[in-house]
Formats: sequence, structure tokens, C-alpha cells
Amino acid sequence: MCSKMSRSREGQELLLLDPPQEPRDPPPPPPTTTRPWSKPPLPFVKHLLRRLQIPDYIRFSSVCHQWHISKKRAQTLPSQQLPWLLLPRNVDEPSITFYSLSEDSIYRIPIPHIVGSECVSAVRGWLLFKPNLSASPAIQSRFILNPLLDILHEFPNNSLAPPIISATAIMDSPSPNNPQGFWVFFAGGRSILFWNPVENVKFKKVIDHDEFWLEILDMTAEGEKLYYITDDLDLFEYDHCSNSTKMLIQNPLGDDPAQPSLENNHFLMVACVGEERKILMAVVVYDLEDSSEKVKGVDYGLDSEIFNEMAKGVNKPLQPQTPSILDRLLCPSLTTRRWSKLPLRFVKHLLCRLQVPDYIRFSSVCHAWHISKKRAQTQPSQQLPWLLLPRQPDEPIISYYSLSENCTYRLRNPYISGYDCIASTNGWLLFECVTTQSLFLADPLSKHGFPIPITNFKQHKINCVLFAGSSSRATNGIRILIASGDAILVWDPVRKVQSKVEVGFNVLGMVDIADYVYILREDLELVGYDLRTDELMDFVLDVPGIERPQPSTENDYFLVITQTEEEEEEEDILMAVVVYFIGSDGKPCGVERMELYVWCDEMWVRVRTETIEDKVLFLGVGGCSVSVRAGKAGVRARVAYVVPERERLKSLSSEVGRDLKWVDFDLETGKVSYE
Amino acid sequence: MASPSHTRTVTLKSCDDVEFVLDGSVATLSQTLVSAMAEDSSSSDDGTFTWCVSNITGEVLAKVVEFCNKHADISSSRGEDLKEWDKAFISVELDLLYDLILAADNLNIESLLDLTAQRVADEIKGKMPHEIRMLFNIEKDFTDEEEREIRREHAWAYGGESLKSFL
Repeated sequence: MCSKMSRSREGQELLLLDPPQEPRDPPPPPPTTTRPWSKPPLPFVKHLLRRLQIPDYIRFSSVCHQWHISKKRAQTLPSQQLPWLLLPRNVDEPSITFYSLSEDSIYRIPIPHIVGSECVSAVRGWLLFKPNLSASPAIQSRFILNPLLDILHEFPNNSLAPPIISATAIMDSPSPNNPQGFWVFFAGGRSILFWNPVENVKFKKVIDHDEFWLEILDMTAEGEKLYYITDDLDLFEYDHCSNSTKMLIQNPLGDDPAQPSLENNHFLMVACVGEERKILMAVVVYDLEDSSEKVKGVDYGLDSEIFNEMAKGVNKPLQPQTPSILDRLLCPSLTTRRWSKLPLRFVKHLLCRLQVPDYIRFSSVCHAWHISKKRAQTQPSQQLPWLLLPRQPDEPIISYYSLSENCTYRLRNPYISGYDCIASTNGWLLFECVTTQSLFLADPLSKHGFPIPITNFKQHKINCVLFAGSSSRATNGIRILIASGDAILVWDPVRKVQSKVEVGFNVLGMVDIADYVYILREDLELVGYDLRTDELMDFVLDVPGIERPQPSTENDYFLVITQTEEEEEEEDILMAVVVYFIGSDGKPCGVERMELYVWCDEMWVRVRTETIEDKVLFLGVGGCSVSVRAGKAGVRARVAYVVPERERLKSLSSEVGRDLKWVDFDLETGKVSYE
Repeated sequence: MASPSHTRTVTLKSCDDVEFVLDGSVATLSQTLVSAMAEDSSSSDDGTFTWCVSNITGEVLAKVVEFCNKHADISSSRGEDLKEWDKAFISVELDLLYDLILAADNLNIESLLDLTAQRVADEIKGKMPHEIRMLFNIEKDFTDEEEREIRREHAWAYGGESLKSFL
């Protein structure tokens, strides 16, 4: 045995791994060897430890006293790891879970101080955590953590850190003082943050290659060089010694139609083959239409031989969503019940609570769900508003931004090409033909639609449209009300009759409750329209047959953000708040008040009639088509719009009886802040 | 009805013979019990009524009774407190959640159906079908062709993008 003593250093205690199975005591060892294995020579131990996978490395200590000591003496970390997959975790879990490819098993490592933080990036065994503000506002700091070495470095100043990390890399940087020194690079947006946790040095470098939307997709470090690809797929090299950047290779894909984009998965790696160093990137392109995946490779190396080898293996379409053994392992099922069998009564309750995309996807889970949805005959009724994104009239696509999911959906519909969307009501969109000015109303989700014949109606600009009488309390069929100037065209699509109603003033907005339409005029007076008699009448709050409850905090709000027409640079943002009475059946049965506000000097100011002029569009047009319908009391109403600079998205949220709150999404940094 | 249901006491018996005694007013949350009590006129003398709930174990029934007692208690059944209570109540493992769904259906308790439905709606929110299957341990019994066919009708719902990609 080697008797040379190496200096023993404490402080790098490994955390215990808790394998999911019961710890198994090895059976009594059969006498397969007579040699003293408990006393291996130290140089051998060093070689051995380097080659072990982490769990073996950890368990090495517990074989016998001698092995335990020799591991401490060897001071050697394992260096040839197969990747571990970090499994999803909730931010409040005090542990992280890994899937080990080499062992095909799952390990859970308890780490109490990660509660409230989420892991946003991983590189070479280090995990980057950032606080999850919604889960735990008290936790502020970011840190990197090596769960196996139990070393944590807290990031000293949050202000420098980019809120969204698009890529991370680590570069070894040993110095005489700090042999363990290393640099961590965080790419976020257009900047890279450099951080040396051991020496606690940090600085930020803004990457500027005269590209407006430049963003770093991925990066990797090798030696003293940092390589990164930008979203136009150019490869850059940053030399850490000389602090210089140069473009190595311009986008090798050129105008390839399958060009990967931000949504696609990608990874960049440096491969060493003999003396030669190659940089490879593989891009996974998802084909959403037929839900298959294709792996596409981009080679930044000079010699594409390895890459071709690699691509050969992966270029075939992958099996779409085949539940693999890994999937099973990733999400060991948490339930033993037969969830495919749900009571029909429950399914009805469930379906009306789903957001539209979830409602649609419900069918494709399994046969039983598909059938029970058909049987339930229930429509979703509590929708968070969707924001209609700007589109060109010739586009055959409508794009929505879903607040509930924070993502956009594109709905393809060839029939809307050549039509401009000019208003919206309860999910229906009013389209106007660019050339003939003919109108049609369409529900892009249900794919229903019908043309609206216009005769005897001098058409000004259309202020708003209302699909009235669709509520369950209505007794007399539906009407389409199109307000233009001071007149409203009322069309009954069932009886195919239309009439024109003079309101006297410009119409700002309309709301229907049961058989009545409440019309807000420019002079802020409300007038009523009775759908049963098709007559305009003075505003009547006491709807016959409905007991009028007292106004309370149980009332619903009806929020609409509107913008004035695109007039010079000035864009006012107006909001109307409608407070309803809620009847004993939980449905709105009367309007308590409507109020109009303008967003001015960072606050809402209640406006008087004269400042509104004739510009208000109750259900906005242009960049802001919003149609909100409050559901039951207690349902959150939220409205979003895109402010002119197109880099920020503001969302207004309100809960019944609560103050309005602004939620500000900064699209550049991804930061979400609450007023 | 011989006597108003809220004056009676109701004994609920689980399939494993655990008994719970409910106030009549609490039992009215269950439409099943209301109908059963209305039909039952024989035991109106002693003011008690016994109902055996098949397929619901005592453990689950205890939760249901806890829920009904809370929701029938008018003094506490208001506003934010009850919402918080509901939220804590329904934060259960998926197995128990499923049992509660069956119980809510069996006893036809509207408010419990609502609460369980909201929890499941939150669970499947934003998830793709394969994720839902994995979550609930549901076997994919569609062939690839069948699944493609179902998806085709609203293909857009399977391909959300980030807002940034649009802008």
C-alpha cells in the first residue's frame, strides 16, 4: 500500500443519495477472491475514482474503512459521467430528482434550501437556481449549486443577472490562488454575464453585432474560448484571454426552409476527435402538423465527417410520443385509479371550467374521455380573455395570445383572407371585406360563421358589434347589433330581418343581459334595447320578473381596454368598468354603473364625456381587439393589450371587489412585475 | 314529505362499515340523500335515516363529511375563508381526488363536484394529451391514425408558441 500521505482536506462532504428502493444489504460475498481488496494502492484508487459514475463513487466510501480513507486521500473526482437528467420538480420541493442513464434509475437528493427556487439551467454538474417570485416572494437571490459536491455560490447582485437565461456555460479557470476557479457564463437576451464564483468577480458584456434582434441561443466553452450561436445561427468565438469576439461561421443553413427557430430545441457541443476540435449543433425541428419530430443537424466544423455519422443516426423521424420506458421512469405514475373512467356528471362540471385549448385537447387523451365529452354536450364557460394579435387582411391566419397559458395560437382559416377583423364580441369576430365592404361574423374556435347582409344602412366606421341574446336567460333568439356612428343595425339571423335604430349619439359600447341590450352612448347615458319587442327604450334598471339585489362586492366587473384610433402619435388607453348586479341564480341581471377611465400619468383618471369625443371603440379595433365576458362572481377578469412600443405587454387584472392591478410583461427580458 | 329533512339525523355508512352521523341540514347538500329521504317515509318517527354508500370507503367518506359540515355551516361559509379552506381541502393526492370525484358523483354533491372539477381543470391546464395520460396513468388507446384524426379538427390547439415568437 502506498504510504505517502496526502494532505487531507475536509469540507467537501457529499450529500447522501436516497435511492428510491430500500437500501439493499449485499448478500454474503462468495469467496471469489483471496486477495486483500480492502487495501488498494492509492494511485490505483485515483484512476478508479475518476472512472466511476457518481453513485458508485459515493457508495465507494461505504464499502469498508480502508476504501473510505483512501477515497479521502485520493482527492479525485469522477470525470467521465454519462449525463443525468434532471426531472421536473415543484418549486416547493426540498429535493431534486435525477434520472441516471447509466443505471437506469432515479435518485432523489434532498436539498432543503432550494425550496422556493427553480432550476433554470444546468451545466457540468452545476445547477443554476432562480427564485420563483410567485411561489415565494421572500426569496430573492440566485445561486449556483453543485448538488453532488454540496457547494453553493450565491450570486451577489441580482440586478446584473438577466431574468431569462437562454444558455449557460462553464469554463475552468484555475489560478495559483484558486486551483478550483471557474467562470460561469449566463446568456440572456443580448448580453452575457461573466461570473467567477470562487473569486466573486462578475461583469456583464453586451453582445452587439449590429443585429437588431440578436439573441444567444446556445453556448459552450472549450479551453479559453467561449463559443455561442445567435438566433440567426451564426457562430461566434469569444476569447477570454484577449477579450475579443469574432464571427467564426455564418449561418450554414442559409435559406433552408426548415431553418430552426427559437421554438426549436437545439444543443451545441464541442466534440474532440483526436487532435481536432469540432463544434456541432443539432437542432430538433418539431413538425407540429403531423406531430413528428425530425432532427436536423448543423455542422459548424471544418470536417463534417463526425457530424454526418451522428446525423445518420438521428435524421430519421422519431416516433411521435411513444411512451417509452424512460417516460415511465420520468413520471412514475402518482395514481393507481382508473382516471380514464370519469362520471359523466363530473365531466360536465369539468368541461365548463376548462380553457378552450384544454377543452379541445381533452378529446385526444383516450377513447373514454373522447366519448364522455361528446356525451356531456357542455361548452367551456369561464374563459380568460384572449388577445387578438395584429394581422394583415390578406393573411389566412388569426393569432391569439392566451393569457392563461402565456402562449400564442395560430388558427388557419383560408376564408378570412382579404378580410379585415374590425370588431369582436363574445368570441365572435366581425370581418369586413377589404374590397367590397361586405361583413361576416365568424367564431374561429367553433368554425361557425355567417354573412351579414347590409341594406338600408349607411355605413360609417363600425364602433362595436354585439352578439346578443346568446345567454341562457335570453328568451327571444339572437341578434347581431352593429353600431356605427349614432345608429345601430339590428339583424336577426334566424328570421333574416334587419332594422336600423337611431340612438341619437355615437355608441360607445353595448352589453346584453337576458333580453335587454344596454347601450352606452357618447354622453355616457345608458339606453336599453328590448330584444323581445325590438324597441329602443329609456334605460330601465328594473328588469321585470327579476328581483333586484343590492349592489355588493359580489358584483362582476366587465373590463374593456380600448384605444382611441390611431391618431398621430397620441394613443389613449381607455377602460370601462361595468358593475353588474348578480341575481339569485348567480347571473348578471342588471347594470349598476359604467365608468370610463383613461390611463394618464401612470394612473387611471376618470374621464368626462367631452374628452372621449367620437374615438372610443368599446371593443377595440386595430391592435387591440378584446372581448371580455365576466362569468360568475369571483371569476377573475383580465384584459391585455400591447402598448405601442411592441416590446411590453401589459395586462390588467382584477378580482371582484379588489383593486385593479397591473401586470407588466417585459418581452425583452421576460420579466413580470406587479404593480 | 312527512318531516322536513333538516330536522332529521342522517347516518351514512361506508362500504367498509364506518358510520358517520350527519345533521339533516348538512345532508341536504347531497341531492342523492335529499331524494332518498323524500322517498323514505318509514323511519320518520325516530327522526333518523340510514344510507349505505356503496363503493366509498370510510376514509373517503370522512373527507366528504368534513366537506359537507364545513359548507353547511353558514357562519363560516362566506368569502375568502371558505375559498382558502376549499383550496387546502382539495390539495390531496390524485388517488384520493379520484375517490372524492366518485363520491361527489355518487352522492350528487354539487359544490364538491365543482371543487374537484376545478382541481382537475388546474391539473390538465396547458398540458398536452400525452402529459395528461402520464399524469393520470391513462393508457393511450388510440392508434396513431385515430389520434391524428382527432387532432386534425383543431390542430392549432396542439401548437402554442411563445408570444415573443409572434412579435
